[in-house]
Amino acid sequence: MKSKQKFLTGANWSAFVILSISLFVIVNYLSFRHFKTYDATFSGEFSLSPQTKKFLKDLKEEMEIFVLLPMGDESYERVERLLNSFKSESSKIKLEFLDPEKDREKYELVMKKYSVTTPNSVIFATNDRSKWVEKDQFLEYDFSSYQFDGTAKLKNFKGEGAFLNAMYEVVDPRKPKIYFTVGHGERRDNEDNNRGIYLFKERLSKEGAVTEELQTVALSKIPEDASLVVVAGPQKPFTKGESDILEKYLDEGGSLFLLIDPVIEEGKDMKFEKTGLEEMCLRHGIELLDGLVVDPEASLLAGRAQTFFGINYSPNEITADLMKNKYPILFILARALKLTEPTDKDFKSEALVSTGKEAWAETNLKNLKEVKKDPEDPQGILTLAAITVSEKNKKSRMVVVGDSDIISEGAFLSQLGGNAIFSLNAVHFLVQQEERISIPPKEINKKPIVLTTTQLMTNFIILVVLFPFAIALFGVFVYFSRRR
Amino acid sequence: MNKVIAIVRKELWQYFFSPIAYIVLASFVLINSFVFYIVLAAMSKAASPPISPMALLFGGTFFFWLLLIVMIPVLTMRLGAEERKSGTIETLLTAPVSDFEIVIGKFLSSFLFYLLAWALTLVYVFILKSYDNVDFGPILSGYLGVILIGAFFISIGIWATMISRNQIVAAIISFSVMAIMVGMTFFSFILGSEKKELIQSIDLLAIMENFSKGVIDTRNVIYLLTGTVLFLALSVKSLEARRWQ
Repeated sequence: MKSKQKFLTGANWSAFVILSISLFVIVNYLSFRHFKTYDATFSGEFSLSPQTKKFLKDLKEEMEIFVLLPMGDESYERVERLLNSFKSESSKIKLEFLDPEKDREKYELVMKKYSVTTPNSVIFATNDRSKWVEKDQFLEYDFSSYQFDGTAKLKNFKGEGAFLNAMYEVVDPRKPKIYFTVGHGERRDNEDNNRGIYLFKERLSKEGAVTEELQTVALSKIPEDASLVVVAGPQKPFTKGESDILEKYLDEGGSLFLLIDPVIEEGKDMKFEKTGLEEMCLRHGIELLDGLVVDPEASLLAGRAQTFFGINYSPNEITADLMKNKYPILFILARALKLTEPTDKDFKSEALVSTGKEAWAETNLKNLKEVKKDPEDPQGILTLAAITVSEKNKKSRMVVVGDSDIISEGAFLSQLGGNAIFSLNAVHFLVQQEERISIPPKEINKKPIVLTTTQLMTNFIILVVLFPFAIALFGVFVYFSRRR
Repeated sequence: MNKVIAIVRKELWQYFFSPIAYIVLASFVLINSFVFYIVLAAMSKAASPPISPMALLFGGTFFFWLLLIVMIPVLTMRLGAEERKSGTIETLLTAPVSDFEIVIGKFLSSFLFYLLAWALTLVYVFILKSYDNVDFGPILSGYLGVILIGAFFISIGIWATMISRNQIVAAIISFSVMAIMVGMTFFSFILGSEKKELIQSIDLLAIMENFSKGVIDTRNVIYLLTGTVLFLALSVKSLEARRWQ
């Protein structure tokens, strides 16, 4: 009888253990299959941008992602964390990490299948299309200390933007055609001192666009395949005919991106050179003022208030991320703009970037070394970049910036990041790929806390000596009190 | 509920009227303070990597795991084994309390003691705040990780003490189980990437790294919570089996 009871107890216990462990395994298996990650940082360091979330939510077909990185790679952890967040947002994401050593066979197979030529890449693939992103496209280095210690530090992680763009290209392989006008002294990438425009075009190509130069002088119309026409810093005026074909293109649903510098006519009058585009801009609600912007509140160098940061943004898809992250745009000798009532009532113009309240537009161009606010100068908040969009067809879009230096090499590569984001966002908006609006990179190299020797010593005495000693002393006190 | 509170109160009194509580607390604070100081000193040097001191404190160093797998067995080893050795378990088992209430009461007493120990580390947060702007998000999620891992390990300790007659044996069992779980991380280095994903979801070092950086992953939370429930359920069943012996 006793042995029967013992057997039953044992069986009951075993059944319970098996059942409990099974339940534990099932719950964890399900949680492993359907999980969510939450970003607890107040700075949103691990949060996905709204456009990434929307893309993943709307993803219809299965997207395979192969990470071809060794486990010890400096970017591995960030890539893994980011792609796991993608996976937690969409069940269509299939993620696989392949180590070149441990998974050699499959690693090589995948590289061959997707024709990947560079190791350390991330591949995005659907049934019939694929795109791979190289490591230097999602990681940015700081080479400032390279000459001292031979090492480059990680600066920024650009994974989210790079991966999202790659997925867009896989899902939507359309390549917008962007024309850059030439023949008026515009910025061109075949000149040694214009690396900025080369970098700008390179970024656009990496994001799936096709860029080409366009000589407008002999044209009767803008090519049919144009998604956007960029006028980057003309030094000589456009003819009436050229201006007309640009305007016609705009009115018929095209997009223009005008970067207009304050070009000063040579001679003793010292006035602004006409661009030939003034009338067209005015008809669409943007006036090009004959004044050089001076903003002492946001100047980069004391006494040189013509080089300044634009930090006042109006809410718009182009400027949303800049506003959120407080990224400034560097302007170097900018022409003031003014919003006006458009002659073409279909259009509505609004400011994108403005100066501070103390700014003015210097109209006396004879002595630019000592600028001062005169009564005849337009004063107060001045528009630096503006947008005009057709209310009727929503397709005709034009962005005007009073400075083409925003895409100069120094400004485009500026560590502050605003220039590249603004110019790329403007292009994405103009080619009607708003969903591809640039995602700002995540800073890796944050400033650590630095304490002085005295502060360190004080901490040592308080934390390592006094704090544990006080607890031990309290214990001794309690122990002896109890013994008495 | 009152019975659980009574057990918690009794166990906490026993902790605080014996020198062991103060030795554990003082050692805990000494080691953590030392690690915190070393991190601050290292960060103050030029070209140091920008890592949050609290992230290192929450599982980023060997000391964190050493403290857990030594401190928790010390806290839990006597809870069941000693009662069995001294014979007081018979009194407890014949008292009008259920096995579940006994296990929960003992679990909560150790857990509260553990929370008190970690509450002392809030001093470091105030110190950091006095020097710089601190992102409290990763600190809060780090504490959440510490709480969940603590609950999991304490439930292992409770289970070990419920199946052992001897305190030392209980401590060795819980220490070994915890050490294996912490050591799971080495498997992910050996295994290929496909199996690595599975191992990583139960790799406590990777789990704590997530929490300390401010990432709350439902897989990690569910794993630790269900692990705690599993070992507590096994403890209840072990105690019940003892009742029938």
